[in-house]
Amino acid sequence: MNKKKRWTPFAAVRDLFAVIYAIGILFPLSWIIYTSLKTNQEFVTDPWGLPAAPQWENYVSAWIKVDFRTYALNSIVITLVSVAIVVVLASTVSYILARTRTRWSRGARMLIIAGLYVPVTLLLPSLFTTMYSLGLWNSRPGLVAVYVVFSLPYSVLVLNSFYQSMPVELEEAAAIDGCGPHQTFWRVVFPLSKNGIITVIIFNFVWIWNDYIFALTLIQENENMTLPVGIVSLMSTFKLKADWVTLFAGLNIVMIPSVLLYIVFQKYLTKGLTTGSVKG
Amino acid sequence: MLSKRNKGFVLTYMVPTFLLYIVFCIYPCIKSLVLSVCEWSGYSQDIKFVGLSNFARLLSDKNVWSALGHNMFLLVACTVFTFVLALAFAVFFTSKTDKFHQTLKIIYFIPYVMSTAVVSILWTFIYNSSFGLLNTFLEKIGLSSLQHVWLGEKDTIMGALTVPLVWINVGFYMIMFIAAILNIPEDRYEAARIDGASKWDLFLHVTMPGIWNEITTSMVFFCVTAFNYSFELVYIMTKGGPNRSSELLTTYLYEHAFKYSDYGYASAIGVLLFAVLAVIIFGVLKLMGGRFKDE
Repeated sequence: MNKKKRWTPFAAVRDLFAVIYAIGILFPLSWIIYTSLKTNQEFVTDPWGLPAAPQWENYVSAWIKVDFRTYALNSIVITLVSVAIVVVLASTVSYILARTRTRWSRGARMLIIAGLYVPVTLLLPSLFTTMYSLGLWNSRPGLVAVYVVFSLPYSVLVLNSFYQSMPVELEEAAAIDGCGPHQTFWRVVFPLSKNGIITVIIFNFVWIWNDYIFALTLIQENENMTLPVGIVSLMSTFKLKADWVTLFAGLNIVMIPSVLLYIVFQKYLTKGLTTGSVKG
Repeated sequence: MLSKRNKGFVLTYMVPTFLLYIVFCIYPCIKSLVLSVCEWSGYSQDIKFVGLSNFARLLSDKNVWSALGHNMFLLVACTVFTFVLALAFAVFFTSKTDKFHQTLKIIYFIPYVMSTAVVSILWTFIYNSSFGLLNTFLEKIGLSSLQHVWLGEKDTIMGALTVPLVWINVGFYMIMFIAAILNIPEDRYEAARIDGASKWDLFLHVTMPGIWNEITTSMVFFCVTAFNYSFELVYIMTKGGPNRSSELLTTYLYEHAFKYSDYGYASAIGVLLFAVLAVIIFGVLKLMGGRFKDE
């Protein structure tokens, strides 16, 4: 690599463009944040302006007067439970599939990974009727089941390649020492796959926390809604009351957890994302 | 290798996983196919086989064809802008390990980890005709003549929807391409440099062939996911309006299933869209596969 530092006109234009693009992301982001601290009057007269004094009570009213408390609680519970189940199922299944080489196991692996290429929007009507006839429509456990299933393809893709590159000697040693298969996996193999597991946790947390279409289709009552559907369903109410700042407070409640999680764990997420598509 | 005595372990985890997967993913896939040749209101036991009449109805439904046109517009426009930007940024950033460029890279990915619900609401406010960021900005810099009702005019609506879709995805594909470029053996660059290749030559003859496969697979993946993103965005921002000028096949499908309880027709729209998707993917693979391969 060429390590010499040169600031050529080309590089200057390039960096300028890169910075402008970054502003195109950072400005809307900070706009969502500071608008949530304005008054409605301030927002309507100048949407660009900064708040004269931060109105923290916008968050109080989002949390108490509107249903954001319910939505947030649902989002937290549903996301955490789904991610926990995915970790258990995806890690064991990926491990089993990585350690068995039969026509069946290859077929099973293909079948799950093919799920990455299912355009889920097309499935929503059939998924809805399936859930409805199983009595799982408009229920949080039903939504969890769907999140688990649609997390599997990517999670298995990542973890399977992880276990394939892991030497079998340790497991054999554990087995000789008298560990049963459950012990061998949970005490020896699983802790060693920590990096892959963290990737899977972050990735699935982010998409499940953010998901809109499944929750839109499978949840109807207010008390079962997650944050993304909740906030969209409140749009018309906010519009009617011209109460924009509370809506923005809500936007932050939805946005900040996943963005923060990404920034803290971005190395795991970006590294994990690329394992699937790039061989080697 | 897992031996016979591990049968209990294997069954404990394989059976529930595949049971869930079959019930909530494979079964709905098959159900969609079957329903496309049926008439069903969704709630009754009464599913009537109607042959290809749903598809005949598709052919004569003008909304379907204009919606398909909108889908194709978004797909082409988003693919072009997303991939050109992502590729350009990837090439810019790959060899840069300093803090400044690393930070930019992290920033670019942020829209991808935001909920599409948040992104859609955000862009609704950017485009709002009276107090939106865009129109008030144009007014401030004295270009009021350029103001539009961005999500209310036929000429601007599809373009206005393209921008947030690109905004969401550029960072993701940039990361994919950076990983792909890093995978190219460094000696290929060395060899080309010794031959006196310029930066442009390196890009064209080493980088592009080196990541061509990843570009192709990314494009296939993008085509699949673009249907979901565009559905969410349009459903929240415009509901397909005004006057169906931003209607997509996915929003049209959703309307038929959940507003008119016409599951047969909705499934037929889904099958049409799936067929279109298959043709596009086949076309992408056919057009792009093999090219650059032997260099």
